[in-house]
Amino acid sequence: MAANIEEKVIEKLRVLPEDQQAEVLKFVEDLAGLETKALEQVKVRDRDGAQPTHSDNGDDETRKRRIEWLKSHQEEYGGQYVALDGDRLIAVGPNYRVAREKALAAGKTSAFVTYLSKPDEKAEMGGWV
Amino acid sequence: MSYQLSFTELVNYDAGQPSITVPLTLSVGRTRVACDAKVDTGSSNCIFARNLGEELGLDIEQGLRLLVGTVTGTFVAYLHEVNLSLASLEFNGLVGFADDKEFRRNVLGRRGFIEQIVLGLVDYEGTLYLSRYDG
Repeated sequence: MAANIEEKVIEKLRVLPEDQQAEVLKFVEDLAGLETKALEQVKVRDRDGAQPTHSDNGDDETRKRRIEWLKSHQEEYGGQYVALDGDRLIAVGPNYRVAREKALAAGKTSAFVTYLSKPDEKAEMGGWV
Repeated sequence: MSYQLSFTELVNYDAGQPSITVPLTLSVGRTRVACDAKVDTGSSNCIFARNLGEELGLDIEQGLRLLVGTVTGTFVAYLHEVNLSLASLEFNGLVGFADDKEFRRNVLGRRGFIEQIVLGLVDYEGTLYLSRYDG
């Protein structure tokens, strides 16, 4: 079926004027470029072994190591957002968005992004506490 | 000028109550616990009653210690990595469990929850609109 469509497309292309043939070819090249980008993104996700759900909190050991990393880096990164892959620092940012986007740019679609408080910082509660 | 947002989830709450309270599930690994929590944009963190963390099998004091200020004083909570499920959305984040056993409030604040979503509120109708922010 696919070969049949290809033959029909080629047949139609042949009878087009040269300038229109060039236009169609550029369109096809653009489509191919988009497909390549999409495949690259899928490969990055596959390499990470996770979908970008931000909802997988891993196994007990990973969570434990992550908490230990956070505890031991409060002095250094406190007051900022950190993005972690397991217990490995991927990115730091002044807010959730920046840290997450840096992690995504680094190909880490399932990085754990969180605010890390300073050791002496006081969190704020609203009217319910 | 008008602005439009679209949402994937709609959660109804009782607008006759003093707070915007929604049903929620917390989970760690395969252990899950259900509770109600108040959506609170004025809170920097998500804080839950200690017993919920214990039911999840967490060793509360092993979390990241956080001092929380209120209008009347301060209290201690310990942050742990937990999954939050609300409607069909699921988030992973650091949430606090109060040190004090008498602390019975569950609050959904910015860090760990609001920062990850797009939120719409029509209090007149008792409806909360939610989507994961995936922009």
